[in-house]
Amino acid sequence: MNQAVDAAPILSVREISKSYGGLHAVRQASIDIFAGEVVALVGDNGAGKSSFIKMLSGVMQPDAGSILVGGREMQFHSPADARSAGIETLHQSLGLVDVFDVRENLFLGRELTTTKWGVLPVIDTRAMRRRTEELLARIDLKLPSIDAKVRSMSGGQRQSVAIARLLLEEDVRLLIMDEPMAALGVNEGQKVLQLIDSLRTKGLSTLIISHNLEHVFTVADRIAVMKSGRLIDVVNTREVQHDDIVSMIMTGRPLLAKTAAPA
Amino acid sequence: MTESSLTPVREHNTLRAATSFLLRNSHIVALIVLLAVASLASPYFLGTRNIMNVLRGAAPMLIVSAGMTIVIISRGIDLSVGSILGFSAMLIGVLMPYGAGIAIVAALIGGTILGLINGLLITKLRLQPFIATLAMLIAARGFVYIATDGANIVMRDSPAWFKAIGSGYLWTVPIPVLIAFFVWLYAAYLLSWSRLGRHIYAIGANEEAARLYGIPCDLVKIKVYALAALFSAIAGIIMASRLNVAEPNVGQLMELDAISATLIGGTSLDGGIGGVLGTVFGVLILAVLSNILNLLNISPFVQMVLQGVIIVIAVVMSEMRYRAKS
Repeated sequence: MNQAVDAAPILSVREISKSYGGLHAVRQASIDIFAGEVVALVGDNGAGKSSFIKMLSGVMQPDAGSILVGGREMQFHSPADARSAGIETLHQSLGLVDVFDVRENLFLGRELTTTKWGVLPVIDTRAMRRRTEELLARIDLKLPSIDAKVRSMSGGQRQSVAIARLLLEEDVRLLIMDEPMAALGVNEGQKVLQLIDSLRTKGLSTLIISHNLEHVFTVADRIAVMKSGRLIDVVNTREVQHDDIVSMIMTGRPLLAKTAAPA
Repeated sequence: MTESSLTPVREHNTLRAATSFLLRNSHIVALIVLLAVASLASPYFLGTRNIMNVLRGAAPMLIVSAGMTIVIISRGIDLSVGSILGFSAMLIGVLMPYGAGIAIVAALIGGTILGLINGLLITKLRLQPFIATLAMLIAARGFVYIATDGANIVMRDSPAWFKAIGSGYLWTVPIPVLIAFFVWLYAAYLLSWSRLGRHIYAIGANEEAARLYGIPCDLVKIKVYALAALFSAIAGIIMASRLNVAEPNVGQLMELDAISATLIGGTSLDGGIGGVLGTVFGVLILAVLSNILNLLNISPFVQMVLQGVIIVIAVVMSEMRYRAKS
């Protein structure tokens, strides 16, 4: 937590709500996210975490409340809207093409082209290679070879490629990740945590959903707890213990209420 | 284990490198072996004339197989290429009285429209490629029989330049071979150097990912089937010109040879893997095989058995190659 008191949040979520029929998935949830911090979103299954991030990534639209990016109120009608506001989302299905190498995956659907002999449009392999190397250097991501097919890579490397893919455009401000370590072994998960940590030093913010409190305590600056659609509290990781978070997830009461006298 | 890798045994490595080279280029090796056997077996084989005849005979198959390769890389299949070839040849025969130019344009457009229909059936009606193109295989051939009454159309009034498309030469190179070369060049460019090519591979390997990244999968697939049909139509024009007859049966079963050649060339039915260079070898292996057996007066039925065996060997080898790489 190094933001000054007067630093403006990059993302402000003000009392957004979403319900499906009679079910209130998210109720008046608010959070501020600042530049260069990692915020973990925890809670039981059905607490509303996924619905919450879906509204931030433009997959769903809130019924009420507002989302401000850099102080300006935004309406995300689609994931493309969120993306153009600098919010990228890593989904659980990585969506990598196994038989493609790193460069081909990074540029899939947005290949650079150039013109050969004045007439023939061709893909610009050299330029894409250069930008791939630049990107990997910028985010401190080391891969065995950028010419290796992602099929031959470990789970953590593949996850890293998927994250790198989101960062190709340099105007990304917030990365949202839904359980990025879920399918990974211990060592592989560590590599992804390291990458998130190194992105923080570059000023990039991450909002990460995780069930693994050990990971959360390793990587997050702040922890947001959800229960029954409500965002209970956001606490500084340094100021809480593992058990405090567990109790918040279970009881749905903010940390102060624990010490306060019962009403 | 560790020690032996620290002090590599030269022979062992050479052997392994040789094995991996042979595995990687099995279709090239197979063609060379076949050519060697052929030149030993028959003194006529290596003559320029025989070689050019083999190539001229293989030209329509080269063109059709280039289209098939693109379709298979996109994880599809096109069973209708032979019927579309026949459809285009039929249009040539029927429209020749109105002028060869008009007939050719109509054949190209007509064939491509059938490919567009394939693409629409697959993307809009969500039919499996096998089913959509099976239906087209049957229906397009039906159209040909309706239009010709099942009889040959002999083109008595076709101009000399039209006949040259199928049987002319540029120096010593038959014109169909030149056409096949340019079609092949275009297909190679498309697959390896264009954005569309990247998208075709991506759709073949992981359509969900391709869709997620905003690739217009339906449009790409429609283009793929239209292109395969256009190639078949070009091959149909060559066949009609070479014989100067529109035969209602022309192109029948060609889809099976085109699929064979594509698989022998290392393109995988799983999609996303392969290319037209391999397919050229696949076509030439089958063409040379048939030529040798002809020169040796061996029954074409034997060729069919051999072709079956070759497909099995080729696919097993390309599976091994694929596993060796990953």
